[in-house]
Amino acid sequence: MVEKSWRPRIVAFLCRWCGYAGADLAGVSRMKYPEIYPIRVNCSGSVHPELILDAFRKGADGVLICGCHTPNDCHYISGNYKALKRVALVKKLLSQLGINQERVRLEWISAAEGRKFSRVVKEFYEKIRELGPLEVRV
Amino acid sequence: MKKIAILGGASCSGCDVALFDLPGDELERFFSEVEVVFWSTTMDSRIEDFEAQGKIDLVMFHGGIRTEEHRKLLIQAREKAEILVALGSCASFGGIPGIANLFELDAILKDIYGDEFTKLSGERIPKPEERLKPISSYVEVDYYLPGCPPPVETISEFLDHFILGSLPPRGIFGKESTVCDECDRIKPEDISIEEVKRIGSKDWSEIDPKVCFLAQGVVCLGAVTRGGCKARCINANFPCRGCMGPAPNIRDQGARILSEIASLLMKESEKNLSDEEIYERVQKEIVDPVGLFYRYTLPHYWGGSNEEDD
Amino acid sequence: MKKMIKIDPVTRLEGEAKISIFMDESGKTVEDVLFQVTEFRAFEKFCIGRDVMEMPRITSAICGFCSWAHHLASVKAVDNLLGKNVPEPAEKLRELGYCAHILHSHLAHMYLLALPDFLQLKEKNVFHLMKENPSLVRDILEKRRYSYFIQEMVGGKAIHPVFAIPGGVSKSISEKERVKIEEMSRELVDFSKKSIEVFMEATLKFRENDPYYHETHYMSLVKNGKLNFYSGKIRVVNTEGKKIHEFSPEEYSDYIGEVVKDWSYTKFPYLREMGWKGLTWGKESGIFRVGPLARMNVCERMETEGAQWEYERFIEEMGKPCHNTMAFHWARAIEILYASEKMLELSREEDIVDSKEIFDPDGELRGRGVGALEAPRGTLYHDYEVDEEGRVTFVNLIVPTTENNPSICISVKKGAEELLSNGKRIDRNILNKIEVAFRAYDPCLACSTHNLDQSIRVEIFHGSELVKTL
Repeated sequence: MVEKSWRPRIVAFLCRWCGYAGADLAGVSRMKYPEIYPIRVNCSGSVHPELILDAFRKGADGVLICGCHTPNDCHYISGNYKALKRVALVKKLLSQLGINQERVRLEWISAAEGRKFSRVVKEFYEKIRELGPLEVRV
Repeated sequence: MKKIAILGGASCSGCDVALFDLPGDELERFFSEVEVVFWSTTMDSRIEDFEAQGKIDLVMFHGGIRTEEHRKLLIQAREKAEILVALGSCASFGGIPGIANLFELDAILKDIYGDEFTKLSGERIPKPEERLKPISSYVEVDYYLPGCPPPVETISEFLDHFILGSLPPRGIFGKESTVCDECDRIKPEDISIEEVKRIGSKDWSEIDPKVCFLAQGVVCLGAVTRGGCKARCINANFPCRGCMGPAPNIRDQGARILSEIASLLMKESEKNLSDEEIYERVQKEIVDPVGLFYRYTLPHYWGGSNEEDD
Repeated sequence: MKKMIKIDPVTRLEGEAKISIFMDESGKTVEDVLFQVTEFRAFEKFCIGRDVMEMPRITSAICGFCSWAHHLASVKAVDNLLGKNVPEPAEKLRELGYCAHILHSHLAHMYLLALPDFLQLKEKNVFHLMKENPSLVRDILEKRRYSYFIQEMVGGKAIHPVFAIPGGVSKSISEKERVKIEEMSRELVDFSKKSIEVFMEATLKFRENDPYYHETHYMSLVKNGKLNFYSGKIRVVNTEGKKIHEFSPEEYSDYIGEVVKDWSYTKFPYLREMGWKGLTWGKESGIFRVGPLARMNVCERMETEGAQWEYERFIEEMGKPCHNTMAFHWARAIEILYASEKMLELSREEDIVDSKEIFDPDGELRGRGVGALEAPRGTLYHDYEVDEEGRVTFVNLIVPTTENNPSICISVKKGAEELLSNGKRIDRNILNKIEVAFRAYDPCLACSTHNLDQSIRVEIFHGSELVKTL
C-alpha cells in the first residue's frame, strides 16, 4: 500500500512556444493544478529519449511532455512529430523494461490552452498516484 | 617476468578463443615474456592456485557477473591485479546474456528447471545473483576492451603496450570514432524510413551493399557505436548491432539510436497521417526495441524496476 | 566417515564445471561422481520476446568456441519457420564457412587443450609446449589461423559470424577470396593428414585398456549415409551398431527426452524408446553419445577420398561401433581432414563467387521452426515458436555437451573408480587423469548451460566435511 502522504514526482518537459506558455496562462489565470517539476525546453522535439529514461533513473514517477499541436503549430516545423514518434517507441521500450507505459504522457497544448494544461496535469497526477511510486535500479 | 591471469564470469569464452586468433609469432613472443598464472581454459589451474597468488600484473576478465562465485572471483581479481581489464562486451556492459535482466531470476529458474530445482540451486551449485551485471558494478576497472569478441587487432595492440609498459591513461582502450566513420557506404544527407526492413524479410533482396543501411530502412547501430572493428559486419553486408558499445560522447547508446530511428520513421509522410496512425505504425515497425537497441548493453544502463512486466 | 573429492574448476575446456567424487567410509571405493556444470546464462528464457529474424545473430553468443554452429542451426530453424528455400550458392557458402569453423574449433581443442595430455610434459599446457617445441606450436597456430581467415572472409566475423540470414546469406565472396581459400584449404588437407597420425597414436595407446570405455547408442546427422556437418537426417544406431531411428530435425522431441538433476545446471537427455534409467549404460539404457566418435559409428562412409581412407583405417583398428571413449580424439582428427577436403572441394565451385543468387525473399511466418546440424561436439538442435509478428514465444535448444552429459558423468565415474580405488594416494596427477575422461568429449559448457552460467572444481570431503581441494 502506498502511503497517503506520498506525492508523485512528475517531471514535465514544456516547449517554450506552446506547452510552457499554456502553463503560464494557467498560472496567471490562477488555475490550480498539482505540483510538478517543470523544465522549459525549446521544443518537444528536443526531449531526447535519454532524458526521459534519465528522469526515471533519477527518481521521477512520471514524465509529461507538452508540445505544439500537430500538424502545423511547431515553431521548428516538425519537432512535435519527432516527439510523437519517440514517445511511441520509448513507451514500447519502457513496457519491455517492466515500466508501465502510462508513466509517460505526451500532450499538445497551445499557448491559449491554460485550462487544458491544468486538466492534463490533474489527470496525469491522479494516474501516477494510482500507479504508485516507481523504483528504478541503476 | 610479468604475471598474467585470464578469468571469466558469465561468458561464452569467445574472448578466450579470440586470444588464440592472434598471429602465431605474436602469441609466441607474448607468452615468452609473461608467465600465465591462471587460465583454466588452457591450463590446469585451480581456484586455489589463483588464491595463492600475490600481485598479478595483468588480469583480464571476460563475461559478466551472474553468480555469487563470479562475484567473489572478481573481487579477488581486483585485489591481486595491478591492471584489471574488462575483456569484451560482456565484462564491459553485460553483453547479450544481460538481456536476461528483463526477467526475474525466479521466473528464469522455474521456467527452465522447474520448482524443485529452484529450491535447491545455490546449495550444490553456485547461487545465481538476481541480475547480471558488468564487472564495473563491483570493482574499479582499469581498461575496457569492448567488442564481441574484441577485434584481434585491438587485443594485439593492447598486449604490445602492456609488454612495453606504454599503456595510455585508463579507460576504454579503443578508437575515438564511430562505426559510421569506418564504413565506406554512401550516406545520403536526407533519410526517411517509411518501412523498416527486417533481416531476411521480403524486401531484403533490394538492399544495395554500397548504400547506408539506414537510408535503405534497415536498422543499423553504426552511428552510435564505437569504431575499431573496421565495420566488419557492415562490410559483410550485415548492419551493425552495437557490440563495441557506445561511441565516444554518447551517453546512452540504445536511447540514442532509438531516438534517431524514431525521427527518421515516416519523416516524409508524417504530415499526412493522423497522430494515432503514426503512433501505431512506429510501434509496429520496431518489433523488439530492447533486443535491437540494447543487445549488448542492457545491464550497463538499466538495473530493473519494481514494476511487473506488462 | 565418507570422503568427497572435488575438482574445481575442471580445466582445459570451454566453460565452468566441477567434479565431486564421493568415496565410501574406508576411502577406498568410489560411491558416486558428479560432473557438475555450474554455468548459468538463461538463453532459453531471454530469447523469448526477441525478433526471430535476429535470432541467428543473438544465439551465436551461446558459445564462443562453436559460435558458427549456433549461428547456422539458428538460421536453419528460422529458414524452416518461414518456409524459405535457400538457394544452392548460399548453401554452399554456409557449408564452406562451416567447414572452416569445424577446423577452428577442432584444432583449438586438439592442440591447445588436449594434446598436452598425450605428451611427456612437466606442465600439461600449451605454454609449456611452446617452450619445448616452439616450431610445432608455431605451425599449429599458423594453420589454425587459416581457419580464422576463412571464417572472416565468408562470415564477416570469425567468432560470432553474421552472414547467415533467414533465406540465405548476406554476401558471397570475391574471386580473390576464393583463390585464397582454395590455397589455404590445400595446405590444411596436408596438415590434417599429419595431425591424424599424432592423435591415432595417442588413441591406440588406450585401445586395450580404455578406462573410460562404455557402450552406448550414438546419434549423428547423415546425408545419404555419409558424414555431413551441415545438413541431412538424424540417425541413431544402438550399442551394436544397428540403425534404430532415422528422422527429420522437426521430429526430435518424439525421440529425445530430457531430465533435470538438482546438482547441475545441465539437463540429461535420453532416447525415449529406452527411457531414462539413471546413469547406466548398455543396450537397455536410453543414454546416447554424440560428437566425432558418434559420427564415425553412425555414418556409412566419408564423402571425400582421403577421409574415407582414414575412416576405413579407423574401423579396422577400432571396430564398429567403437565404444572407446579415447577414440574421440582420433575421430576428431579424421574430421578435420574431411572438413579440409570438403572445403577444398567447395572452394572450387564457381557459383559462390560474386553470386547474385544467395537469398530467397519469399516465405511466410509459420508457428514453429527447427534447425539441426552437427556442431563440432555433436548434434545441435534449435527449436523456436513465434507469434504472428515474428516475436519468439518459445525456445528449446538441445546442445551436444548436454547430450553427452550423462556419458561424461559415467566416463568420469569409471575413470575415478579405476584410478582411486584401493586407497591410492590422491594427487593432482591422478585428478588430471580423471579430467582426461571428459576432455575426450571436448565438452563445451557455455553451450550446455545456455541456461545458467557455471565453473569446474576438486574438493575432498570427509563425511560432509571438506578435507581437501585440488
